Amino acid sequence: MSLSTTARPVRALRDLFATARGRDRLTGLVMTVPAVVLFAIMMIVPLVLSGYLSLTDWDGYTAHPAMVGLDHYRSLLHDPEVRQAAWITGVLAVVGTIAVNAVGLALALAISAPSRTNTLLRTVFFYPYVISALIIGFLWSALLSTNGAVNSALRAAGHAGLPFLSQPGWALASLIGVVVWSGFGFTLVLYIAGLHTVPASLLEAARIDGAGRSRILRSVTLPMIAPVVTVNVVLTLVTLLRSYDLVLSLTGGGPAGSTETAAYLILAQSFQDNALGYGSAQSMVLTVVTGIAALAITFLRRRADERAGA
Amino acid sequence: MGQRKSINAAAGILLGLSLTTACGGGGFDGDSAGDPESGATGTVRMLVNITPNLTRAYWRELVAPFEKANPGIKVQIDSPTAADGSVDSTLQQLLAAGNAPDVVEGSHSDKVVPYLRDLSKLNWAANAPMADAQRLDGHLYDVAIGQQVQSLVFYNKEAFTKAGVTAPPTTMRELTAAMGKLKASGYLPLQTAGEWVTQAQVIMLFAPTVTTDDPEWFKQAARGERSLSTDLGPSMNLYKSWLDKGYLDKQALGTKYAEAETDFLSGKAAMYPMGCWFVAAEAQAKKDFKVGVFPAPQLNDSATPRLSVTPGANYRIFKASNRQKASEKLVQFLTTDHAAVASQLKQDSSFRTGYPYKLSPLADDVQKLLDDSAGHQAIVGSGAYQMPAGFEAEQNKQVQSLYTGGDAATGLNKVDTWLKAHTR
Repeated sequence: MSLSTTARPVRALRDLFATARGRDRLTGLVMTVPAVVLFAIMMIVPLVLSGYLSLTDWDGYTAHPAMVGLDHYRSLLHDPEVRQAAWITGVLAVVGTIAVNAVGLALALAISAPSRTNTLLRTVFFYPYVISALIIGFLWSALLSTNGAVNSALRAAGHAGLPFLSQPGWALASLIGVVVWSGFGFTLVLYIAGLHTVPASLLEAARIDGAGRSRILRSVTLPMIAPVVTVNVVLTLVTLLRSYDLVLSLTGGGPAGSTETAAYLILAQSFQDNALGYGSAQSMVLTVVTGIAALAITFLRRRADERAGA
Repeated sequence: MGQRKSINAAAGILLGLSLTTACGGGGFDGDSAGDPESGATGTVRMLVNITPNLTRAYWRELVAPFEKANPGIKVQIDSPTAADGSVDSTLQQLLAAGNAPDVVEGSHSDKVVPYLRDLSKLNWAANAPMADAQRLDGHLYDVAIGQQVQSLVFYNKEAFTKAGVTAPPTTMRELTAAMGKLKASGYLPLQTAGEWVTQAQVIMLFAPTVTTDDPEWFKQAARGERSLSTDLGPSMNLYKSWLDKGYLDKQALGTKYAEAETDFLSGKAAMYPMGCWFVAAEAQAKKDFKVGVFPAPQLNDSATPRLSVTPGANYRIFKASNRQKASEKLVQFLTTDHAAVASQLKQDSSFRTGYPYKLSPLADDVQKLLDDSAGHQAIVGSGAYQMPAGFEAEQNKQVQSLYTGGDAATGLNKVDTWLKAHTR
């Protein structure tokens, strides 16, 4: 290495220290280091190693797992359990995301005005979100089981019990219902925050121009809170694509495996069936699908915003 | 080699983190064998099953006399730390992290076998309950304290009397007829449930049918040499017919294990197929009827069926342990000391001929069935009779599919296909 090439970075570093702006930039860089290191250790390295394990037949015990190349990925395409889990995850994620956001937005519109009652309602609605998904699942399974509180009440009132957790369609609907109950509080809070950023003058102007409630919502409010909608939709979708603990505690993947989600299947096959290599391959696919879905929604939302701006 | 080991170690650690949030990971230690004469003193780490009955305090109390008699040995009780709370999942993580315990209780995974010490040359181990059934290629890795009787049907004596069922059924034909009478008397004839219970009860009910004809059935099935469609087809068709006739609750899959137990003990159902551990719950329950028990009959034969049994509370020693002598002494104490064995049998509701304990009249009935039985047959559990990992979950799906509109033949075909792909 020549003298001139080594002198150049040294000079650049000296220049960086020389100005206040440079020192600010350096401080900023230094302060991001812990976050970057943590992110790398907790996210990037596991992802890379998961990728490596997905190419092996590791069962969690073997000292020297054999490389199997892309066999696991090829098997995934023909595995009926994986296809079923992908379908269930898709239904749960899409329907759950729409429902959680629709309920959150509707309630946010209803209780966004400042009042004591609304403050109380916001707290009540947000409360389920702070409870662990496992506890929520156990709680609702006690309510919805064949002889649970809801069916006992129905029978006491002279009606037949409903198969909330004992028939596949009902079990999936129950799962989605509990997802909505436990998740809408978070979207509600974000929507209320978003609604408070909509300038009152804009709403007033729309009213003066003769717009009704529905028109104001479609043409003023929703476009103004579009970034909040994007955040809520992406966060809900990503969370639901990884659904595991609620499934475990509410339905246990049943009846007859009909509510097994992708994450549930990954954990079951990895640890119950000792197939960590195959489970890693499924994890990699799920990670990629989740990433693509999140990026696609963000991209589409941004393009819609740009079109609206133009 | 060393570099690869390190990569695998790191992979294990981080995959555990990424998949379960609570796992350890990586390491693959434990291939090396410790000297059987090593470590006569020191601290022995023992990973144990923790349940509402088998608490840490219980385990401490159990090993206290051993520590007193062996002043140089301390026993450290380790609890399962895996997300599902099971000993085998915890072992998987500990082994991958190179942190295996010296002794483990309640592990059944055959994946652990390469890490275990062969105990077949120790007389006390070779004479333990079910020692022959637990052997793998002549080697013995498990020492049990007793047996858990699986193929039992508990019944409400008052319901039987009301329905005019004068004696416990001895064939499936009699059992089916009894169900009809019980249903007519307003009882749910047979209590079933969702979760793992659906499949477990099918095995409890129908294992004697296949094992009385051929005691090696489970061993052969585990090797993929048996067709469930052929051997279990008639039994599953019978089970499906019970469901169609309303002898089983069609909505039972929405019932949890604990609820099923409560429903039977509250008198709603007349019969409850379950393992012998049910006697503990029955002994504590307040009820206004008596509970009896009979062995699950065979499909077409009134001859006394072989009782299906699994090992109760088996112990294993890891060959990489450097406290081999101390571990050996501890396991010998836990599986041969009369007071220690009797205490564990009672605590875990397991049974062993020659080790009676006082719990309840129902427990005495189970002990009598075991003592008088024509033969016991090992099923699942450990050793060569254990089915491949994941079998129970796969069969459970297919049994449960009967409740959601599926048919027996399709379900059994799917289990056969799965078994062929996962033979041991």
